[in-house]
Amino acid sequence: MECLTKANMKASIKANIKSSIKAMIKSIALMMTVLLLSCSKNTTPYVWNIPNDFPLPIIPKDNPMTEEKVALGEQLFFDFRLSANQVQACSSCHIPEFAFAQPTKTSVGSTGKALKRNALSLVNVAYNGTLTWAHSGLTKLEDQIRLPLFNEFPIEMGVTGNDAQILARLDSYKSDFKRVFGSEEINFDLIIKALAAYVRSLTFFDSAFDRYAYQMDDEALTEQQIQGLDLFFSERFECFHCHGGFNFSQSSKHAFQTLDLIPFHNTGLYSLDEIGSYANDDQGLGDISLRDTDRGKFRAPTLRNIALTAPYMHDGSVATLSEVVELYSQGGRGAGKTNPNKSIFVKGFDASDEEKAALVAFLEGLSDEVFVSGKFSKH
Amino acid sequence: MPLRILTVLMMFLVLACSEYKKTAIPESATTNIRLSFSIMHDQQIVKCNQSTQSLSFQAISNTNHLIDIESFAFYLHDVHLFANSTQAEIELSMQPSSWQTDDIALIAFDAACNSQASSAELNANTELHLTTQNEAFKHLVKRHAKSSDDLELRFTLGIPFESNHVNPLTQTSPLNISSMFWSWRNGYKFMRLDMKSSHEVSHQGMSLHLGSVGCQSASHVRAPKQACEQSNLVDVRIPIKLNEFASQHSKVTIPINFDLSTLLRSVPFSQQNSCMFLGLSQQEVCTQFINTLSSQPVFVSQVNDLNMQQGQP
Repeated sequence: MECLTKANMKASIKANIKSSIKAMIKSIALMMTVLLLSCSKNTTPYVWNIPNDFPLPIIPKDNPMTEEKVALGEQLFFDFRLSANQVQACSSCHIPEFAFAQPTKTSVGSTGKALKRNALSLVNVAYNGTLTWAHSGLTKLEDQIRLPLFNEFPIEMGVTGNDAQILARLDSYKSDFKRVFGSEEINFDLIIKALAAYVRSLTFFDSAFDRYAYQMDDEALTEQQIQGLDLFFSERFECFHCHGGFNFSQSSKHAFQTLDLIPFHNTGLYSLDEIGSYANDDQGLGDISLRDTDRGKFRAPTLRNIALTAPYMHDGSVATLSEVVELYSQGGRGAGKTNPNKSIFVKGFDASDEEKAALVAFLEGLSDEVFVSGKFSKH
Repeated sequence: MPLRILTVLMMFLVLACSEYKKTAIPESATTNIRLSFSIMHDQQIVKCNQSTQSLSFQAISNTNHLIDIESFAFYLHDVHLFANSTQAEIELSMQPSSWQTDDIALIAFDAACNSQASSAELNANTELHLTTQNEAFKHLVKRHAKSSDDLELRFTLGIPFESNHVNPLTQTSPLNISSMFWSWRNGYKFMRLDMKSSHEVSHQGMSLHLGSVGCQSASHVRAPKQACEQSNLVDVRIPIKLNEFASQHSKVTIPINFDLSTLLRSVPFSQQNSCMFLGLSQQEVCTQFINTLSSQPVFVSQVNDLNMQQGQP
């Protein structure tokens, strides 16, 4: 043992402390780097396809948007293995080239059972006040997506009772789930979150109308379409009352406006009895609220891309846009004209054939370039 | 010196341990109570049909065909037991398991006849596991043969309001079973009873589903604060005679029957009488269904003098 003098000892202790502090700092720094790297999910914040001055949709805090989550959701959206019998994917009834709607009156489930309603377009649904044709209680995509997956009456994707069987097929997604959600575990809560993120990403605001109205391009709409535009926004036709706003649907919400606008309207399609019952045992909002005065009330969906999503109305019972315009000019259809629950805005109007044609032409100008150009036609 | 202290300490330890051992075999203060559920029809326990692998019963009708129970499951919560004579409550605790939380339980007959049901499917669970520390009850059970006391069992069919509007996909069992989801109504099916007739000509099916309807969210990120328009939570009261249940040491089994005859008397088997709260067109049948559950003795304790087999089919 060295014989240390007092001074020597002090110096040596100081030196020891210094070097051990240095070592400590080094190891802490290393630890922190490792921690930070392992905590980060290695994801990229999502970049929205929305014009600069347009508002963002409302995003739930528990399902933030990332590029990777949207990409994962896209894969799942087109994956037939998500249905129990592997015969159907989300894209079967929400077909991209038809603005994510379907050119049939009503849809059919994976086991062949018919649904009562027409598949809605998924474009810009991120802005929807409520979801589906008539449900005042469905306001969140993550809640709504459970329906086509788990529904039993009728069976749509047929997940109920087959959860484990379906999940067992999805091993190939393990690394994607690890990257997006931080764990290789795949479950339906996360599948739905990814699907919701993808559906939220389907925002399109590049139609001829947008170029005319927002980009000030006077050549974007024809004279006829401009005539139709004026009629659309007139008090005589009153289309804008239910199909107004940047999304051509009164039922919209966005980040700057969270007022609860969830109106449903009866447009006089049917009236089977004195309380205004609609056909096909489908009373719309009435079946949710269980109130007779809500019989036949449905949500006014977006008119964007409407030329691509025939046939029309909740049951696909109106085949063309011309027939739709005719219906509104008559104030309803057949007995539906006297439906006791009919909206006051559907009172009919006088219009020449030229004016009706102009309105249809304007509606055709609401189709987004991405569909018009055929970018979505193959998948 | 230290060695001596150690020895003494060890002796104390051994003595203490042996003392502890002696006092460790007293009678347990806990009584285990099992509510054992069965389905009854026409005064008989419904049994498994070997060919259809489901619980079947004979329909009381002209054609006299068999009806298969394809699915029968229900949630219950808020279980209470009262002694009639004293109106005293016998406090109960629910033991958490994959079939029950500390308040909500799922009783399911779905795979009752399928001996090879995999763990991934909905297996059968026909027993509710409860415990009580109640001393008086323990003594009551011992003296039951001579006792004239009656009990009343109370529970609520369904899932309490606060738990009915959460994301079912992130809940723990038994609140994450997809066949009990009621996605379109944002909640759970409180009860589902799906039956199918084996009649060659009309393979009619009838479904009775129960759950809360007319629910609104006060805010989009909160479960509804106010009650739903029709909560459809059904309070059940079952009188129980003490001499009707089996007891064994500290375990008591109380058989409870779900009497299909009582139910189907007011809502006869027919496709038209299905109630799934799909909408306005089913309101009449659904109201009848709920009224029967609420006011008729659909849940009954086992009646002693009938020729019945206890336990599961």
